[in-house]
Amino acid sequence: MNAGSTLEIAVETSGETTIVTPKGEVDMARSPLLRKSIADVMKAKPKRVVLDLSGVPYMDSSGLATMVEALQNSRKNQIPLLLCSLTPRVRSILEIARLNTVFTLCDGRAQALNG
Amino acid sequence: MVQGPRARPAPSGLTVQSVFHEPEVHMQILSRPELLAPVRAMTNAMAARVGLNDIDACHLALALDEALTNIIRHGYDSDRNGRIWIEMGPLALTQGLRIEIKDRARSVNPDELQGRDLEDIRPGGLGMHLMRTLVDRFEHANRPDGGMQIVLEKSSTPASVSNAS
Repeated sequence: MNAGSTLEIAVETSGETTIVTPKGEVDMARSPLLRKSIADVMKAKPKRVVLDLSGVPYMDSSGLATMVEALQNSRKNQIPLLLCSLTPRVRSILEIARLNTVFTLCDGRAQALNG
Repeated sequence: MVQGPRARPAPSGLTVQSVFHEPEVHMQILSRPELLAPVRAMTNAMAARVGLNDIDACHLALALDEALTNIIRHGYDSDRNGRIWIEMGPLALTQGLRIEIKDRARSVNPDELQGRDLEDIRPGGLGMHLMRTLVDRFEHANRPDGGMQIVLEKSSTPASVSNAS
């Protein structure tokens, strides 16, 4: 588990899709960075955004709030947002918050890119 | 010396008394968000030690995280020099972990922190719901000398027990 003080966020493009890949735990101290990164990506108006969560072993309510904000932003701008490769821990947190039915979830990046 | 289980008096205002082992960990932290990660790491390690499975450990760590976030944000108004004390110890009667949190912050009754309706999809308002849902016991009370005390307990699910054996 990454208990370090940083959250690394990679942004890459595949065709018309922008993929955001955070690596590290998303908590109160780190969610502002993820929020800014996603907001910057949305501003560029890509055709689709994939949030690859394979490197996120943990997320608190501020992280969930960040993703809900991203979803609202994506709906407002009509940019589909897909989440992929959730770790079992993050998936369980999403389910407890009953957000698993709100987001479009994909098993892996390939499914998200082809979906 | 390893101490056996003993009944500890319930903190003032708490209604349920638990029987649990002597706390094995005592920590004091400052009210700084960047300290949440090391506290989480300790919680996960302690939870694994008492036999909680990975998901249960994560849920207990998340409940503690949300409690600390409330203390930092609402109790201490994001003042970075507030004191928070955390104790952890195994439950005696079941496989599980008990965590006590104390502060000297402005008392904020968690019941008065309005969580949102889960059907109302918007950012924020999830912390209280998570804290109550993720643990088997969640209690809070004002401390006689100021501040709040919060108790969190999480026991193993049957799957945890089988995984730990």
